[in-house]
Amino acid sequence: MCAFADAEYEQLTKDKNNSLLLGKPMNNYSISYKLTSVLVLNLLTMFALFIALWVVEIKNADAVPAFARKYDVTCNSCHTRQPRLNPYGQKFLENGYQLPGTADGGRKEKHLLGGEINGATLDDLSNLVAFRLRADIQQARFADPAVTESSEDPNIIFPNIVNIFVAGTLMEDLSFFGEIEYATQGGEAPALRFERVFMMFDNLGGPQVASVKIGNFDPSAMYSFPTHRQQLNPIAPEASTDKFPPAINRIPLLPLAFASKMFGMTRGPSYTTASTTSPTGGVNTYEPDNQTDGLSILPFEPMFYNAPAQTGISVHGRPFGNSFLYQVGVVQAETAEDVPKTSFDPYIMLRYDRQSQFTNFQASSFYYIANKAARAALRPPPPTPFAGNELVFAQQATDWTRMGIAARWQSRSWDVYGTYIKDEIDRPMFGNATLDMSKWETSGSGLSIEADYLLTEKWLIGMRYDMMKTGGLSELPPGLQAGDPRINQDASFLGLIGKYYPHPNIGLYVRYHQNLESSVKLPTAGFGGAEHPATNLESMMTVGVDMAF
Amino acid sequence: MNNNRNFMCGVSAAMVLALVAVPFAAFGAADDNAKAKSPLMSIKASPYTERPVENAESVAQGKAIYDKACTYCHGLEGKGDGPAAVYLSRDTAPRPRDFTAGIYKFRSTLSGELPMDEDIFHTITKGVVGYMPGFVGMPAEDRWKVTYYLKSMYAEFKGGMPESITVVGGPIPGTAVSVNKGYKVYTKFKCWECHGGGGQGNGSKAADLKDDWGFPLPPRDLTRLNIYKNGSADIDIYRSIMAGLDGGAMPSYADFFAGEEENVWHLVNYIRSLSQ
Repeated sequence: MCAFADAEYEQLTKDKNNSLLLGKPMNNYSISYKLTSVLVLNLLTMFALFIALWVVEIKNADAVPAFARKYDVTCNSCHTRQPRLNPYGQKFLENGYQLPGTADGGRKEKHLLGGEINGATLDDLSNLVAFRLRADIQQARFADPAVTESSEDPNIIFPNIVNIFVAGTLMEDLSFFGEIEYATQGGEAPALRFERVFMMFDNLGGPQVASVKIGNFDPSAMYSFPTHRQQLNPIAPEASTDKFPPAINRIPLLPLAFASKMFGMTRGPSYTTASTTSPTGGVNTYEPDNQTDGLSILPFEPMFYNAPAQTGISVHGRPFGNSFLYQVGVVQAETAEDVPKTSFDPYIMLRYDRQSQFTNFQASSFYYIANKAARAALRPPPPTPFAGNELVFAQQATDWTRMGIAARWQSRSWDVYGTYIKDEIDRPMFGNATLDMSKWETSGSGLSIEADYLLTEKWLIGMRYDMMKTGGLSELPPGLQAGDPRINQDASFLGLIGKYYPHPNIGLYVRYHQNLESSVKLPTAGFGGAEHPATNLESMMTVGVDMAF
Repeated sequence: MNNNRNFMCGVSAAMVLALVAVPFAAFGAADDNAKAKSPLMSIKASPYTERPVENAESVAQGKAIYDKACTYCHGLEGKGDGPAAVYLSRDTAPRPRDFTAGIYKFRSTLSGELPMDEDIFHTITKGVVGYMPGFVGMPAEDRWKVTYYLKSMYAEFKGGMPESITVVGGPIPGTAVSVNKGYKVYTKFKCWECHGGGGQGNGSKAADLKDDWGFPLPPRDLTRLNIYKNGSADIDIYRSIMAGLDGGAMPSYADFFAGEEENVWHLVNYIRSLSQ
C-alpha cells in the first residue's frame, strides 16, 4: 500500500497526530539494497532473455518505417539511432516531412520494383503508414515494498506501447501526421487513443519563412531536448490522480526537467464536488469516489511545453537563414475548473544552430505562460474545523510560467544534450488564518542531461541524469506538523542504457535507473512510516525491444 | 475483448486514413515522376536539356540551396563531413561523397575521369538507394545549380569535357540463352570472387574490400535488384560494369569488353536473373 493510497490515507487521517495531506516529516536512512537470491535469479532470467533476443538473427528486415521506405534510405539518415533524430532528421521534421531545402510534396524518384505505375500502389500505402512496437520486462526495487501496490517481481509487458503512424505530404507544403497509441503500461487498463494528430502548412511566405502546425502536437518537437524520441523512453508512473493527494505507487522514469515539479497542486475543484462555499475557493467536500480523473497534478507529470501533446497552433521558421529557428504558438490550456476553456497558453522558443566538421551544436530557450493553470489545495486533518475528508482549495487559481534552456552537442559518435527548466507559480492563499501559514515554494526546477555514444555500427550506450528541485507545498502550518515538516521531496535519478541494433529499425535494450536520493520515511505518527513515493523506488531494470516497421 | 476490439478499430481507422491520403499523394507524384524517368542516355526534351546557364550567379544560388539541403551529410565545405555523416554509416562505407576529392562513383565516363554534369544531376535526382534520398521534388533548375556548385568545389572540372563510356548496342531480351551467356561472362571475369557464386555479395574477397578512404565496402548483393546504388535498369547496370565505381572496389571493365559489348548485355541479363 502506498503512502498516498486512499485507504491508508483514510486510516491515517483518523490519527489525531496526523498533520495534513502531504505532511510527511522525514527521517533519512541509508539505502539498503539487498541483493537477494530471488533478485539474482530474476536478473539472470532477464539477461538470458536479452541474449536470446540478441542472438536471434533478424535478417533482411527490409521493412523500414514510412519515411525511410518512401525515400528508400536507411533509418539512420534521419536518426542517430532510432528513435532519436539526428540534425538531418530534425530538419526534415521542420520542413513538414519534406526533404530539407525542398517542397517536394511527397514526390520521390525511387520506386521499389513494380511501383512504377500510376496511381496508388502498395508502395505508396507503405510510404504513409508505420508501426512502432515497444515491449519489455521491468523489474523494480523499492525501499519498502510493503507500502506500494507495485510488485518487485519481473513484469513482462507485451506489448507495452503500440503506435500506428499515418503521416506524409498531401501536396507541396501540406503535410499531416496522425498517431494512434495503444498503451498497456502504467498499471491502468489498456487504452487506445489518438496521441498526436495535426496538419502542417509549410514554407508560407517563402522557403523557411513560416510553417504552421495546427492540431494536437508536441510543442517541444523542435526544442534541443524534445519530449518525444528519447533513447531512454519514458516509463509511465503507476499512480491514481483521481485522489488527493495522488496515490503514487511508482513514480515515472522520464526527463524530470519536463515534470510539473509542484507538490500540492490540482486542476481545481472537481466537476462532481459539491462546493460548500464559493466555487472560486474555500472548503469543498471531498468525495474520493467521485473525483474526476486528473484532479491531482503529479509532481512528476510532464506538462506545458514539454507535454507529450497539446492542442493548438504553432508557427516556426528560419527567415534569417539556417542559424536561427523561431517558434511561437498557443495551446488550449488545461486550466483550473473555474477558468473558461477558451483560454490559451502562449509560448515562444528560439534556437541557435551552428555546424562544423562532423559536428552540430544547438542551443534553445523557451518561455511558456499557463494562465490559471492550477489550484493549490490542502487536506487538513481533523479535529475541527476540518472533518478530515475535505479539501480546501486556494482562493485563486494560479498562473504558471515555465522557462527553459537546452543545448545539444553532437559530434561524430557523441550526442550530448541537456535542459534546465524552471517553473513558477503564485503563492496560494486559502482565506483561513491557520492554513495561510503553510509554506509554499513558488518555484521549482529540473535538470536532465543525457549523453549517448555510438560504440559501433550496432551498439549504442547512453547515460542520463535527472534532477528535480521541487516546489509547491513545502511545510505545513505550525501546530499541524509532526517531526520534519518538509513535504515536497527533491528527486534525482541516474539512468543507463545499452542498445543493440540488429537492424536500424530494431533496438534491443537493457536499461537501469538508480534513485540517487536517500530514502526518506514518512512519520510513524502520521503515515505509518511509509516511504515517500519519490524515494521509495530505489531502482528499476528493464530489458526490451523498440522496433519500428 | 473490448481492448482487442478497440485496438482493431484503431488499426482500421489508420488504414482508412491512409487509403484516403494515398490518392492525394499519388496524384502529386505522378506527373513529376513521368518527367524524371527519362533515361540518361536518351536525352530529348527533359530536365537534362532545360538547364540554367552556368555562371558565378548560378553557382552562388546553388550554394544557397546546398546549404539548406546538403550540408548535414556532405558538410559545409563538401568534404563529406556533415554531422549526420557518421550515423549513416559509422564503421563501413559508404560515407557521403567528398566533393573536394574529385572522385565520383556514379558516372557515365571512363574510370578516372570526372563525371559529366548529367551524372551529377542524375544522382541528385535519383539519390542513392539506401543512403541518399532523391531530390526529384526540388525544381530541376535548382538541381542544376547545385550541380554547378558541386563542380565548383573541384578545380579540375574547369578542364575539358570528360570522356564518356561507349554504349554499344542496347538491352537484349533476357532469354535463357542470353542469361546462360551472361553466366559464362560472370564466371570468366571472376565476378564471384567478390559478389559470390550466387551473387549474394559473399565472395571470398568480399570481406577484404575497402574503399579509397579505408572503410570496409561490402560488394553489392546482386540478388536484390532494388538495392543497386547506381540504379537497377539495364543501362544502369551496363554503366556500372563499364565505368566502374571510382573510389570503391568495383573496377571498370570497359577495356576488357572492348569490341565485345554484347557480352555486357548478356551479363546484365544474368545479373537481373539473380533477383528472380
